[in-house]
Amino acid sequence: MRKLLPNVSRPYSNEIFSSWVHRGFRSGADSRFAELIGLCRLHNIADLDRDDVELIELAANIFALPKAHFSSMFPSRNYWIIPSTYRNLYCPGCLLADIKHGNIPGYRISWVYRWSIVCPIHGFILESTGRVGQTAEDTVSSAIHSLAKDKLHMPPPITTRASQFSAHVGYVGVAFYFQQWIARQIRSEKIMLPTGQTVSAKDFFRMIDIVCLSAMRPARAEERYIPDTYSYLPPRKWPSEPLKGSEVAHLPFRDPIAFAPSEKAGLLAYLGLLVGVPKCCSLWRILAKRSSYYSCPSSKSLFPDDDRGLRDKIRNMLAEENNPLLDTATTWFDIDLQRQAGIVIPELFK
Amino acid sequence: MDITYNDDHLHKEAKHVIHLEKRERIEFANQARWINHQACALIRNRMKSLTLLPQIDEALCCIIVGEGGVGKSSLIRRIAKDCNNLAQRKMEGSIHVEFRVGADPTLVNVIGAICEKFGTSGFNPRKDDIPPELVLLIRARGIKILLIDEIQHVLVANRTEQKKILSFFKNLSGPPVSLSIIATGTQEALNAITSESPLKSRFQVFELLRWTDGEELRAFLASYEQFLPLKLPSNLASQEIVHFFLTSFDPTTRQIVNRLKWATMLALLEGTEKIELDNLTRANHIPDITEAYL
Repeated sequence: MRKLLPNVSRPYSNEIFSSWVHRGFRSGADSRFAELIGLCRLHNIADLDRDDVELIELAANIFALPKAHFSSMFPSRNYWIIPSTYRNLYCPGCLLADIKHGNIPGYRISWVYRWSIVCPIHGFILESTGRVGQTAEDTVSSAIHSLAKDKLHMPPPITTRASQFSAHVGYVGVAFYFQQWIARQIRSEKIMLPTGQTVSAKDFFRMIDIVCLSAMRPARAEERYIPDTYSYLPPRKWPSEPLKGSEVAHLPFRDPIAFAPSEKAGLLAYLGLLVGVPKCCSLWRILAKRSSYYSCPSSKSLFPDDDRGLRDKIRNMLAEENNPLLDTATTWFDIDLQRQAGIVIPELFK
Repeated sequence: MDITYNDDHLHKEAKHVIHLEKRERIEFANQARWINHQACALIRNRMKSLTLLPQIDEALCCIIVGEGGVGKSSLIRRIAKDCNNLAQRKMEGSIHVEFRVGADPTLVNVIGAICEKFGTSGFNPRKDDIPPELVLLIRARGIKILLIDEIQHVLVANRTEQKKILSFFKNLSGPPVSLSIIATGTQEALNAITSESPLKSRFQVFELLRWTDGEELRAFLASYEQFLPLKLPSNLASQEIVHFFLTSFDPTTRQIVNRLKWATMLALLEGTEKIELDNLTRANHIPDITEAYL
């Protein structure tokens, strides 16, 4: 539970640090916020939302409060966080709730993780401003703009959507269970896998990061591998818009995790299935009975055994880092997901 | 020489300050402080009444007029605080938005400044209409009051832009948002508003004047003295000090408060620990306080 911050403007529930600082700065009522932003620039702290010892120390000194008061405003130990210039996801429900409470909306911690696709409060699929190079603060501003342009229209929550677009939203449902599982696991520094194995969260996320290499592709490259790599994804709009300006130089690869939530749901759903999260598996089993999209999950679509040698690259990188999950990842290359998840293919889809 | 003192003349919030270091006492004296007085209390109560009444289509608006330094900006900040307090008591979101007309007042900039208070960038206006997106945000947040500081800056714009901005304000005070506008400005701003006949009928005018001799000034000075971090009482409400304030310079709130702050700093630096005519006369500029910081 967040501790109170006496004599300082209060952060919203689950609000991220930078959002709180920028709101405080904008209100102009407390000069300490401006001082903190100035000092961060002086100390070259570019990302105010990384759990940084120096940053927390600065905040604690300026506001004359214990460091513990600020730590809950940061994502858990910087695990698998979207890069600062890609934080373009938001929940329209949270923003509207802030507006209705008479507040300037704030950015939430739960939107900042790479695995986040659904708002845990409102159950809406997170929306994207669709812009690269946005900080959390820019995102909130653009999101309010879009929300107002869209007449404050709220999307239906995921449960309602499931009945309308089951083929697509099934992945979102499975990915949401994976999101919930990770959110519970990262409360401690250890991750307990459903297989019973316990590993450090750092190793787990490093393994996931490396595994996701297989879903990366060079920007503007020929897309001949795409059908293999993305074959598990539902019918979708292909993210084909080119990168703009200076971003191209810094981003030789496109990270599918930076895509809109509905676009990355397929990947996360597969990860949930590979990790063996019980709720992911049971939902997948239900979906497999209703739609052919889910009846034949294959790890080959995530780990294509082609001339790129992705499997070797993944294996080598994990070995170089002495990652304890090397064997687990290697097993995933050829795992029989149908058997692992207990999927029974209906006669209709055979 | 040690001064024998008691702290009976101080407000309970200021009692602890006299035990602090000289530097900290100077900083305490320099802080902006709100002292309620009759003229402001009268306006504040009327503005509170405005916030309590349900919204009507043609909202009632007010302009607080006065020359520079009489405390218009402080008053509007106080009204904003009153709105916040009211909202907190009702456990609701605040019903006001406060903004200051900038130095480059165009309709686009005014809309941009209001939108910024909603956490987003400006929406494109169509003529002088309120952008529909802004209408939605105002309604969603339940805004009833628009507080505008320095409305006279509108006069910097050319005539066409002035007309657009004033017409935009008129639209804000009518349906569909029906905001009560509370503005502060100079007499020239009032003239500009009253020259627009549709606006004239909507605005009630309140005037903040310079101080004159009377109970109100004495009460203000006596209250202010309670927050001066000095060990000895200064008796600011005395006839000779009141006379000094009224005859030595334009008796605006800013001038009086600045004199009091600087005289307090002199009293602290020189160790007299009270304001007297002597240090008050010499406190026509900020004193050299560097020795307290060395």
